[in-house]
Amino acid sequence: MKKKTVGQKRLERIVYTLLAIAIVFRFTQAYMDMKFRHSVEMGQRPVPNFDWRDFDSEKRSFASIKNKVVVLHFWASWCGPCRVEFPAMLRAAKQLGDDVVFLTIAGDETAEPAREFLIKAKNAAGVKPDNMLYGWDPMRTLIFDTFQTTAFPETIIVDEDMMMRRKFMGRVDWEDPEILRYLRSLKKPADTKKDIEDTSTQAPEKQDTAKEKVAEVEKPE
Amino acid sequence: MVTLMSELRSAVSSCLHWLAGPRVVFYALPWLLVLLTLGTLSQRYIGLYHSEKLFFGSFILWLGFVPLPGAYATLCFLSAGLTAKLVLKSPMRRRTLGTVITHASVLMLLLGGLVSALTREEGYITIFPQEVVSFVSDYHEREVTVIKDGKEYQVIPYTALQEQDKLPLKDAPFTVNIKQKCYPCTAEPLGEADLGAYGMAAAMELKDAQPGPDDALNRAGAMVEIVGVSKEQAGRYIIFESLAEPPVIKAGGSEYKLLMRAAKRSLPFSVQLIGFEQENHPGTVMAREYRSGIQIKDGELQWKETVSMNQPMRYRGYTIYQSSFVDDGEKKASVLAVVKNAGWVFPYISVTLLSIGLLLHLFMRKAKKQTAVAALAALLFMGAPEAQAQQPPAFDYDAFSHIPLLHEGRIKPMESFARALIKSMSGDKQADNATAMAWLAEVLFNPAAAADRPLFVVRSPVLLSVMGLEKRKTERYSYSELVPALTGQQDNIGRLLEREPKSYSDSERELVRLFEMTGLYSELANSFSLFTPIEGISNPLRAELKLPPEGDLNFYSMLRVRYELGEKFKAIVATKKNNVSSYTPLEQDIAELSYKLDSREAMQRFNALLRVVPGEWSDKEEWLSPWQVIARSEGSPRSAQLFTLWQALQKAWKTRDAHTWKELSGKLQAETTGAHGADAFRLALEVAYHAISPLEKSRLGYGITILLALCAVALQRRWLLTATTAALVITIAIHGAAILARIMILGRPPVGTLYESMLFVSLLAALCGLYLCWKREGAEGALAGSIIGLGVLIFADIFARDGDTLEMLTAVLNTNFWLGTHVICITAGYSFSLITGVMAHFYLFRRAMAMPHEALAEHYKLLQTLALVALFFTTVGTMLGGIWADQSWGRFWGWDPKENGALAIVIWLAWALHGRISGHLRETAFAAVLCFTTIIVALAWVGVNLLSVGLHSYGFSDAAAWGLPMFCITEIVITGILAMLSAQQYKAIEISKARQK
Repeated sequence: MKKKTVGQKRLERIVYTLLAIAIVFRFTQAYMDMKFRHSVEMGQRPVPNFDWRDFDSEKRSFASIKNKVVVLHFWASWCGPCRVEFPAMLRAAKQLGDDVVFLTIAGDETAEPAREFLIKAKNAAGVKPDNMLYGWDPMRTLIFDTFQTTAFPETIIVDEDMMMRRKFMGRVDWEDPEILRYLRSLKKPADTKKDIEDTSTQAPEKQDTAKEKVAEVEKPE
Repeated sequence: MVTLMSELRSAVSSCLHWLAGPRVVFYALPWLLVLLTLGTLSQRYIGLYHSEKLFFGSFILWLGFVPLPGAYATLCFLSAGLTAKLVLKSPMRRRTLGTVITHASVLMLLLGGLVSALTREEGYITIFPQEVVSFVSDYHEREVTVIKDGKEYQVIPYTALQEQDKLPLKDAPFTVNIKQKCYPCTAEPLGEADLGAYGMAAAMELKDAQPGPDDALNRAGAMVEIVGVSKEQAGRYIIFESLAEPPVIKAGGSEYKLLMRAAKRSLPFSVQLIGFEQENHPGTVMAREYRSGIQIKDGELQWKETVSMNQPMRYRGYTIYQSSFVDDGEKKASVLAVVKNAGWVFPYISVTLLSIGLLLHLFMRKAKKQTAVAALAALLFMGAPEAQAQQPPAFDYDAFSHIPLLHEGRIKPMESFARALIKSMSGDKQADNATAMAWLAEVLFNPAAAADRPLFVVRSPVLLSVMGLEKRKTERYSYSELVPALTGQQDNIGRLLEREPKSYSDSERELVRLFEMTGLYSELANSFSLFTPIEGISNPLRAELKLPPEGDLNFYSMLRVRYELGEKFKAIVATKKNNVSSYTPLEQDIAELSYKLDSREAMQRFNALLRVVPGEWSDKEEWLSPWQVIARSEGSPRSAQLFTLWQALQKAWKTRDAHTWKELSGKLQAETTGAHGADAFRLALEVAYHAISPLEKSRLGYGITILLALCAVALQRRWLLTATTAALVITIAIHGAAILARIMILGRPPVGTLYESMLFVSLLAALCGLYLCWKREGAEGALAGSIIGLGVLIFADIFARDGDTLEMLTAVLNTNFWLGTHVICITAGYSFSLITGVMAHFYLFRRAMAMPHEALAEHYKLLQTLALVALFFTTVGTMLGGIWADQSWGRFWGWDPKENGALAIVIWLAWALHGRISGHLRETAFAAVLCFTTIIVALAWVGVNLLSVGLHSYGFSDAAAWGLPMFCITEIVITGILAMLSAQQYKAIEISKARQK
């Protein structure tokens, strides 16, 4: 076998050194990634699992709303912009149908003004959508402590994977076709959903049906 | 006749041969250097345009009545010399091939310059979104435009205007007599109103003005008299650039408007702006990128293009590139520069040829191959303890120091943030013996105690006496001492802020800096003031607002009842107005609390310094301060969780609960690392970079190497040489690791700022020194490399601007390709030039010490090689810079001070090498000239920043203002003494040789 020259040996040494540096560097990086790996990837915002109460103080779980796009809306009856947008939101909910659920949480101190407003708003809108849920958070534990909402109204869009996609601060123009198109776009195609359901290993649990929701909707009245 | 012809031929031949000799270069280059220096210095006073016209764009330079050759004449002379050399004295042999190609490429570059000078047109387009433009405004030419009934009727160039003559109007029903014209000119008020004049002319007169440095602000104007119109309109008028209401004449049933404006040139195509975008570094107003979406329409052809920094568009000989933008408050207009230059391709060919030529020339020289010797010794200084003994901190700040935040457009760890602030405020690494992290925690969580810590540096005795403070040995004063003192100076500060910073005296500059720094400190100390307990909330009020009867309440916790509180207060005011005495105790409490919350919010809602919360809802990589989250309603479940952690951390710090502190800071680190570009590895690396301080260690290493090298040179012991080499290798490894760490942290080449270029130049010089040490088996190389390494690193430390040296780059520099090629090449040129200079000093020293002839001859040969290498890198680097400029700004050469500086080094080295060849520079003179290369490099590299003009003036610092002249004077004195001694020694040897003969 041909003997290596001094130059070749030197070159080899340099290559090995560089290789060693690269390996050390890569391992350090991998270790750091592992140490600080997040359950949340950048750009993904999982909605925290929370309970909410309706106007009769009945406790409900957000997690029970499954495979739906959710419009999470924080409002109060004394808030001007909330009052303006509510009827339009009701009409939008009706238009969007069963695929999108509107969960509205009122931050009023007392329930009565909020109930009264809801009746008026439904009358003004001329619709009583089945896909709208009405919650009440007088201590603002959900509104403030969990979602850190500091000004009403505020709307958070949650997709079918329970990821928060967008937040609207202030009034939303629910008559704008763009917003309806956006909400529909979050709905996964039926095939994809089926795949997910098939692969799901979770035990089947009782889900809120549209009929149950209708009952809830009627309660405040 | 025949004799005459042959004599003529012989004369022409000898003339051509004289031209072909190196002496042409020897005489022409210094003069070019003089022109270059004058042209560069004058830019500070008369601006680039006029300076370029005077020094770089003329055949004759008039010094009073004395005609001197201008730059064009000198360049023609050089071109003639080069042509003669190529034709007559350039035999195509293997050995001379490099020289021939180099000379040919320089000639091509000069030819390109000529073509550019003859064909170049440059101007700009200011265009609003959706606007369509098919003309270019000239930067310098002006014209008078006549608008008839709203349409352009006639255009007369400013140069065609003649005083006391008529304006050459065609078919106009009136005459315009030109009384006066001026460019640049100013309008000054008249002592008495001119009753025979109209508009601006009634109250103002035009006067010639000195050209200002910025040619765009030089205005053209003319005083005209209009006759042949109705009596009410006949009289004098002023036509002036940017006049809001230009003269309007009604005659012959039409309306004529007279305008003075920048000359316009038609484009053979039209440009429509689709949109303009400006992208800043997150959390700053520093531009990262500008871009314009444009649509080009040329006849039937129509297509879209994007023009951005470093990415121009070329079409039909025109280059359109992003220059700047105008914001009129409502919308932004993009300013596109348009350049037409037939000679643009010459530099590209020339730089390729020049690189090949110089490389060939360099490697065709006879080089003896030597084996390199590597020896590593014990680490003398790796384990050197920190200079100051530190008390072990009561808290573990490790995780806290790693928490990421956005500061100055970059995600950095708390450690860097704290260090940058301390450096800015106190000029130190520590605040009153507290580590950076301990200080930061104290300011954030116990601002009242931190305010008494002497932190701010005040040096000016005048300022101290004005503020009524006593001079202190430490020169450090606390926030609580300074605030009352500064309050008394509010009027002064207000007046100063209206003035140009350049006009400040030292004490005034320090006063403004103190004002800014205390403002910054206040912002920092209030970062978490939304968690600071609000005192005096009575129990009845708590009950009224349904708040817990016990425990601290702060602004943040009060947010949930803010509306109710506001409503209650409104109700009180509605019934009892401002009559506070009629309020019940509970009502008084409501009013007081409302006031406290409102005033705290009003003061802090713009507090945006401590951006520790990753923005959840924006598409951009935005981080927000706690106050911003509240003020902008950007809250989210994650930010709510972070707020809870920060509150708990504050509590742990206040109660001195070290265990909870460690746990919570670890949680905060884990929660925020990974979000929005906060890369864990980079953050850890940055904290380690600060902890190890590799540049400080490198300075120490170079110092040790210098001592060892001096001993090795003096004692000539082998083991000392080995130790020197080992010390230098270790130092270079540390220095290199520091630069590598910076590359990884910033994700870009290490030469974006002047400070970084200093780090890089010193490393390259040290590497070059190591190579020489290895190759020549002598300690001189190591000595030279270490001297430059230490000197430049010390200067870099002084030069480093306040705060963080790991900076983000402006839009034009934000390109890794050009930073990686041009800047690295030119900084390598600086390194080799410096090492050449230092080695030339050693040569003169050895010569003065009458070293053996063989050693001197070898050293002399080395100097030539080093000068050639330096010439190669500076020339190629400068030309690559020209190409970058062509890519970014549409022109290869703009006579910018930094460009001129780089060219000065090239000329200096070329002159020295040609002087040696022509025999004008003998050994001592050649070495002395090379010694001065260090001065040329210092002036070109750092000195031009002192002019504060041009496109490269981004690294100015006061520190250089005194250091540079000192360096130049020292160098001149040292070189002078060495050259004198060397010459004397040479003479003595010559005399003794003559005697022996």
